[in-house]
Parts: sequence; C-alpha cells; structure tokens
Amino acid sequence: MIAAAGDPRALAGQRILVVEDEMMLAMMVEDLLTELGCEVVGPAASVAEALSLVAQQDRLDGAVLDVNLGSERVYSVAETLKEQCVPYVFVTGYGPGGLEGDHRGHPTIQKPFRLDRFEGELAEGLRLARSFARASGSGGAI
Amino acid sequence: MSRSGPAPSTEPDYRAVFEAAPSAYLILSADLVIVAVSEAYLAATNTRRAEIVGRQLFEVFPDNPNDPNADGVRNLSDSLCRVLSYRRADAMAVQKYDIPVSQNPADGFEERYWSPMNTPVLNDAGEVAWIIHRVEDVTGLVARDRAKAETDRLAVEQQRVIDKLRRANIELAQSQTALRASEARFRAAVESVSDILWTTDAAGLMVGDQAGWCVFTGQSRDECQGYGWSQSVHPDDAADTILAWEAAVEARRPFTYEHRVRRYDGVWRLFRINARPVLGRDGALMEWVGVHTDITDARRAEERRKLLLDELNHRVKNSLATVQSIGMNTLGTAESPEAFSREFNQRLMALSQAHNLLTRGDWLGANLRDVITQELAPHQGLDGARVALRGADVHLDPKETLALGMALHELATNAAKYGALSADSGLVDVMWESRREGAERSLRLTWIERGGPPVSAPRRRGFGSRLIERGLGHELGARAVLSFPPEGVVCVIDLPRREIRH
Repeated sequence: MIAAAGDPRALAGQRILVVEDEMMLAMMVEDLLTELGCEVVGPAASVAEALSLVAQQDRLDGAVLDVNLGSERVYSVAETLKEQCVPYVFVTGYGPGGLEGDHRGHPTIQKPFRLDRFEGELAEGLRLARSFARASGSGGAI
Repeated sequence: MSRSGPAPSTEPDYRAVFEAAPSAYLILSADLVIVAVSEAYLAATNTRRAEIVGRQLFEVFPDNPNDPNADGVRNLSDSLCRVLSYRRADAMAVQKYDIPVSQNPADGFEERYWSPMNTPVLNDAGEVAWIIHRVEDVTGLVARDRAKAETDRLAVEQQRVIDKLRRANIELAQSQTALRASEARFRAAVESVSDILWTTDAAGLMVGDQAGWCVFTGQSRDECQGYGWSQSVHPDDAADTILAWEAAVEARRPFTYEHRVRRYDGVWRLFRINARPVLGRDGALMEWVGVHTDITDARRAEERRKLLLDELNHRVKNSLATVQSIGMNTLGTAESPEAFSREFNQRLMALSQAHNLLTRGDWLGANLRDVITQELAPHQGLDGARVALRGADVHLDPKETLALGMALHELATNAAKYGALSADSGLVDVMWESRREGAERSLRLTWIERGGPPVSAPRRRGFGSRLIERGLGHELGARAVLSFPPEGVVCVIDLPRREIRH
C-alpha cells in the first residue's frame, strides 16, 4: 500500500466501524482496514445493527459507512457519529453528488475502490471529517 | 188572354201562375226584349216589373262597370245565341253577374252568382218564339264555396306554418345536440391537451373569458377574474406565484414558473408556466399571453428514470466492488497464478449464474432448489445420483439468492477439490426444512458429505469458510456452522425468515 502523505501508518491502531450490507464488500473493507493495522468494529449490515454497535463502544476513532443499505440509508448512523464527534467517511457508487441533504460535500470514497489510494482517501477523509466535527462542536457552521 | 171557354173556372190563369212561380223566370222575345217576369225574378234581381218589361235585356242588366273581368253579358248573350241558333235549351255554368243596386247604375252593383238556364219556346213553324230564361241565385252557395276554399287555403297555410315550425324545432333540437356535442368535444379536447392558454390585461389581471382555465379548474368566468385564478393554485405555491408574476409584469419581462393547479376533480397537477407581454405597433403593452403546460407525467417519468438510473448505478458499482473483493480474496488464498485464474473465474461464474436466476424471475427472487442445482451442476456432471436434494419448494429473495449461491459454490468446489465429489464413491446430501421456534421462523439447510477421502480440519480458514461462517451471518443474519468430521464435511445453515413462501 502506498500511504498518504504524512504519517505512513496514520490509521494503525485505530478502531474503525464498518457499515456495509453486502458480505463480499464488507469482507474486502475488513481486509483492507486490517491490512492498514486498524481494528475493525463490525461490519454491520443495517442501521439498527450499526447503532447498536456504536452504543457498545467505549472508543471509536472513525467509521466507513456504505450509503445504500438495501432498503435503508445510512444517514441516521452518520448523525449519531457526528453527535459523538466520531469522524466518518461515506462509501458509495454514486460519487459525492449521490449524497442527500446536509450530507452533501462530506468526504466520500468511491466504489469500486482504488486500492492504491484507499488508505490515503480514508485518512484524508477522516481528517477532514474530524475538522468538520470540531468546527461544528465549537459553534461554527459547516 | 181570353177568359172565354167551356170551363173558365178550371182553366188556370197562366199569367198569374207564371208570375207566382217559385223560381225566377224571365220570358224574352227572340230579339231579347223582356216580355214577362216572375215575382221571384223581380225579388232576386231587386227590380220592379213595370221598370223592366218591354226593355232590352242587356239594357236592364249591363255588366258591372267596376268589374274589369265581368263577362256576364257576353256569356249570356252567347248562350241566348245558341238557343236561337240550335233551338235547344242551353244550361250555363255558374255565372258571376252583378246587378245594379237600383235603376240608377251610378248607385253601384251588387255581386251575384247565378246558375242560368235558357229554354226556347217554338211556334208552329218551329221557330223560336220566346226564350224562357230561368236563373237561380247561387251567390250564397258560391260564397260558402269561397268561404270553404278560403278556410281550406287557411288550413293549408296553417299546416304549412305548423310544418315550418316543426322543422325549425327539429333543426333547433339538432343544433342544440350539435352544440352539446361540440361543447363535449371542446371539453374533451381541453382535458386531453395539456396546454392551457390564457390572457391578462396589461396590468396582469385576468379578464374576460378564459375557457381553457375555467374548464380545467372548474372555476367560473367570474371566479378567475383578476387574481381569482390563484384560488386554484396550490396554497403552498400561490403567494410565491403572485409575487413572481407581479415582478414580471412590473419589469415587462417574460414570466416562467412552475406550480401546482387543482383540476376540476380536485386532483393536483404540476404545470410549467410561460407568459410574455404582447406589445402593440406603437410599442405599448397591450396584454399578456400565457400558457400552462401540464408536466406532471413528464416530471414523474423523469424522477422514475433518475431513480432507476441511480439504482442501476448502485448495483453496477456494487457488482464491480464485489468482483474486486472476490479478486482480492482469491489472490490472498490462491496457491499459484493458475489456481488464482481458475478460482477467480469460477467464483465470477457462480455470481453470474445467481444473477441469471434472478433475471429469469424478474429480480423477485429464485427457488432454493434451482440455486443448489445450478451451483452443483459443474461438479456432479450429468450423473445426478451422487448428490441428493431433499426439501420442499422455498422461495429466496434476491439477497438470499446471491449470498447462498456464493456459499453453495464454495461448498461445491471444496467438495470437488478435497471432499466427497473428489472421489468416485463420495455422496452429498443436501436437505432443507422450515423450522419454527416460538415466533421465530427459519430455514435449516444441511450439507452432508460422505464416502470421500478422510477429512481433516484445514490448517487455515480460506475464503470459502469465511464467506460461509461470517458472510452469511453478516448479510442474511444466518447462523452457519462448518465442521470437518473424518467422514465428510458438514455444514448447517440456519436462515431466519420473515415469511416462508412456497
């Protein structure tokens, strides 16, 4: 893997929640994160399962959220994470334009993955999301 | 007259008899001088005997000088001539012969109709000595006839008027029917054509007839006047529409807008509005002309198309990512580049075949037996005796079809490579049954291999094991247990079900 600019092991040791309903994709994301030295929480296949997992965690450093979970969308999980100041990136085949409402413009990783950029995109996405969360938490507008 | 004779008392006094006869008689000499006249004749012609006897007939009764068509003298004269010539009686047709009111012709004439008959009286030599001129006053009859003719004429005229009225009535009814038909046609046309044309005055106020708008909305002419039309615009759109309209009118620039309009039957339809000012030759603003175009169906179709496109994009991207995942996982476990190529392709084909099954069922799902049969087909060849399938028909939804398809593919390839299907004697039993524990419904699928080479637990869990044990649990909420007793691989999958369909 080619690491993102800066710390080559930026994601090592981080606890990352994975929400992805399709088993083959969940397995791949799990593998990719494991390879980066992350500790995978999940994967969760539904909003209910994800919220339940989030509630059980003492610590979450980030999340990778598939937008389209079959009949439901992942947005309520995103809201919950935002409240808890947990940075997250969306995963979608639609691209950034496929996000709805206030979520537009949030860091997104495209399906299928560009394997050589996955780590960089994830690290950069989580960094951006973290700065959003801080801005939001300090009363600033997103 | 001589009153002498043998029986003077019985011999009638012919003069007296003649004069008293009940019919009107006149005796003429051969030169048409009146020689005798009956009382009835005098009464009928309003004359006195002393005034007419001894006078020329036509001197006494000339034609009415006020009647240019009078032909009494001529016709009577002709008849008398015939009597004199042929010495035979001559009956005349009913003759109009007006008679003087008095002896003084200046007093005028009275209209009369007569039925005259002239009869010769011959002397011993056979010559005409006298002519008996008998007349019957038929003025009354003629008047009656004429009254009757007039009545008939009036009746005919009346009938004609009635017929005319009836025809007019029919035509009116027909034109009313035609009018109603044309109104219905107009309404149908207005309803089927999605465009509504309307006008306002220069100030942007709706004025006059707005047939299209009224037919569509059900508003009356009066109701839509001014800004009345906005009552038919959706309450959420009306205020903004008016603001935008007033701004356009103020700026005299073309107006484009979208809003919902309530149809006469209460259904809301979405319209695109285009209106522009109409300028006179002198450049003065005369009025505004606008068109409402119904875009409800077009918008729905557009939204549906976008939804389908998004869904298609989602599926394609997910499929590509799935292929990516299969590739990565196969790469991680394959023992050689050749093994990678073979296993990768087999897994792609398994996925593709599961898609085929779904496509055949309009993506509503597939039958479990078909899924199993399809995944086992490459390994059991034409001889189905080595694999036994037992279970009722169970319908799988698309997610279940794809996930179980992949899992069964892994079981089948493992069996063909290391297990029961790798040796000639091996058998595979696949059974499934519906189960119910309390309110929980599930499907238990059991895969049992026997008769193959002795089995030992794999040194490390491969892609297949992971997919079955964790993947099924993840995607379907299934509980899958894979065990490796020496007699053969056993896999038990408990699949929770909302509903078991047959």
